[in-house]
Amino acid sequence: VATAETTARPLPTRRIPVSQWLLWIFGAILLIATFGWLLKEFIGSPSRFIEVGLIGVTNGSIYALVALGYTLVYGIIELINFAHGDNFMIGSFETHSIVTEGAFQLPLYPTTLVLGIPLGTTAVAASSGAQRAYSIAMALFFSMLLCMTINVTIERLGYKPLRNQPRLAPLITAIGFSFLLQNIALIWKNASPQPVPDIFPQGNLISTHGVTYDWGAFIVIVITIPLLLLLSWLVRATKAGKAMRATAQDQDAAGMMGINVDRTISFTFALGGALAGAAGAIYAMYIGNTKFDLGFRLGLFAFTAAVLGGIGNLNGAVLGGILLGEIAALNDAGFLFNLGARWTNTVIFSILILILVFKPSGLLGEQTPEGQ
Amino acid sequence: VLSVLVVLVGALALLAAGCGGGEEAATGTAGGTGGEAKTVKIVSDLPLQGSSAAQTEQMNNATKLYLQEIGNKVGGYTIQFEAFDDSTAAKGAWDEATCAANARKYVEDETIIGVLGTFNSGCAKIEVPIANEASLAYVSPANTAVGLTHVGPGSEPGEPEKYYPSGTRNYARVVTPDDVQGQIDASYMKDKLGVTKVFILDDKDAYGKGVADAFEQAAKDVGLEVAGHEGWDANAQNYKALMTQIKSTGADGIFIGGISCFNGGQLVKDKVAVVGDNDTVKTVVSDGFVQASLFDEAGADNVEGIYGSAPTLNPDDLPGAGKEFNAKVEQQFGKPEVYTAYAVAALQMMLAALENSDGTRQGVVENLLSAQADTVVGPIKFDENGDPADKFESIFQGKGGNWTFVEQFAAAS
Repeated sequence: VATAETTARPLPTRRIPVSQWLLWIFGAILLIATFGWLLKEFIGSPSRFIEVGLIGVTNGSIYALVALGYTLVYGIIELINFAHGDNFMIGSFETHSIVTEGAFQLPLYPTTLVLGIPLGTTAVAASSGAQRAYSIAMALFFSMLLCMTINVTIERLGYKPLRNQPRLAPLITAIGFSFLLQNIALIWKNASPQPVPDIFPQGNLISTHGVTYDWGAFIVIVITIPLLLLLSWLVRATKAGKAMRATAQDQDAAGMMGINVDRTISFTFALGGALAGAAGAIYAMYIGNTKFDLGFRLGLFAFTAAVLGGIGNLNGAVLGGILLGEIAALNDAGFLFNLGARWTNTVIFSILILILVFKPSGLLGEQTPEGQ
Repeated sequence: VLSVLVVLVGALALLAAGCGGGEEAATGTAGGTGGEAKTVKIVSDLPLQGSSAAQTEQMNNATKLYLQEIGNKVGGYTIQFEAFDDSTAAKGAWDEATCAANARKYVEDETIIGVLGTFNSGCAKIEVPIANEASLAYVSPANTAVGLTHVGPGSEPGEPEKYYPSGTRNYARVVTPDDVQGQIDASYMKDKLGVTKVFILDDKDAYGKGVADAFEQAAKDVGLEVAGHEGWDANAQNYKALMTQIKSTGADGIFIGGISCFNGGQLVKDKVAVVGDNDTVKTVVSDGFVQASLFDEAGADNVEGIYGSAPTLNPDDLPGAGKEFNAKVEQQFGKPEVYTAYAVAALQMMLAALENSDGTRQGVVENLLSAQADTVVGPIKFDENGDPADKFESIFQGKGGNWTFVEQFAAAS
């Protein structure tokens, strides 16, 4: 009887429900209203709009660098590496050491045991150009090196043994490492903000028609873009990149094809760590301030950016990062429905919710073993 | 052999006395033989970790020094002192859960008859109601939020009654509340700095928003145009976009209400970079920014010329006894911080209330608001709300890496 009833029932029609239609109409209205509003503001004060846009790109490119680390790791082993943001913070702390103490430091417990290798990199705004350039280069190099090492170590110690366990296990380990790094930083340089002197060239690169664009922001872009191109080339055109993509698609099959899966995953973590280190160094030198709990919030934002662009998708992470920086800047400047800085976090996360409702796989689509 | 031992023990005893400071040890014993003194405990509740650690550590040291000087005795009571911490290392600032746990601890310990604290208004809003039910007296050396004691610009609905569920006030403070700060800052900006249009920023926290709201109200009252009022996010990367908005309003003055540990250094830095230096666009900051650490966090050049108000006296204007005490503090614990003398004043007010009481918690609370004392910062008495009867604000200016005293203003009555 039951079978007969089941077969008798008509097949469900593939009609889109009314609620879905309403949702789309609501989305379209919201989108048009937002762009209309932005256009109105742009016409109202074009020079300030452009200036704010440039600020957004600069802040966004730092999000993008951190977001890439999340996305690389997620794309390959589907793990949200919560320690990544804190690794970024450690990078900014290392830069603080290199610029203010003139030494590469390794924090050991207790504080008195900080290992230091003097490099003569101490620099302030008034130092000679050569000295500042040397300091910037060393800060970038050592922060990237340190974060790379930390990321690979964390993977080997914490994630690798749990690779075939339920996915919650490495996630909890990641949260654990996040706290661990935060507390190391707390012991290393205590809880107060750590100021870093302005060693990027000062003054404005562009200053016409009320639009100003400073050298510091330009240097952020000058460092970020080659890093992004290099990463893109690594993943797209090298053997190691091919191995990464293969491992991301199917670990077992990749292994059978002679790819060393362990080494490939370590390589991915090394890349992510290096990007976090670079972002940390740029942040410390451009923003000029760092703090032990910086990683949690910025990490959350970067992760949001990665999801916004489509997790696992490298171009998506960059797009998401820049978009996030842009939204934050536009809203801070009062360009989004006159909401203003008080509401920036609310706006960012509302946009995230909306995008996930309308396009759950992010703007450019997920690229994960499952999502492909 | 025995005599050698005796000599050795004697020598050790001498050594011990030497370490402890011989004179104090002697008076201590003498006092002890006096007999029937009742021992009571007074505790301090301050954030001992994070940005304000240097200041709060010194406040506790000064409190201990003062107690030592009076031989730990007042009236018929022997005072025991213990310092508590309401901050956590991970936060580097006061912490809600720690504040609540501390207050419960004090309530349970029957020997505690008074608390010197808190440092942050937000923490007081948690602790005072818990202590109120147990009639435990609080005297704060540094809280300035309006709503703790009375209704005024910057207070929230239901304040201050919600902090005193038993109906009896158990809280007083030795510093001027923020409604007065807002008032004085607004008239100073208009009359002395010649500002016509002001943009207001707050840190979105209880204290910061309170003082900024009070300022906004006062600014409108004195006829200062308010170009806008925004909150800044302590975790943002930077505030350049926000500053372009301020610049576009054409404001010639900025008021910042909040605590500098909420990324205040970055805020000041971006203000100078985008809006202009502090001569062109005048900046006035509330007392939460008047800290030596701001010069490090923002860079001394960017703080140059900023005005800041604080409800504390110019150290040079302290009365004779206060100057003497400050000199001792300086000798032992380094340059006195803004609130150090006020920690001692809070203790002195608590002791005055204790002296008039029967030594019970209830007795101290009953005598709290009527307490009077000639403290290290001059004579203090409380008004009916538990605020100091003499309300004033000092204006300081950032100059060459230091906060320099400019002028003192009494509250308009």
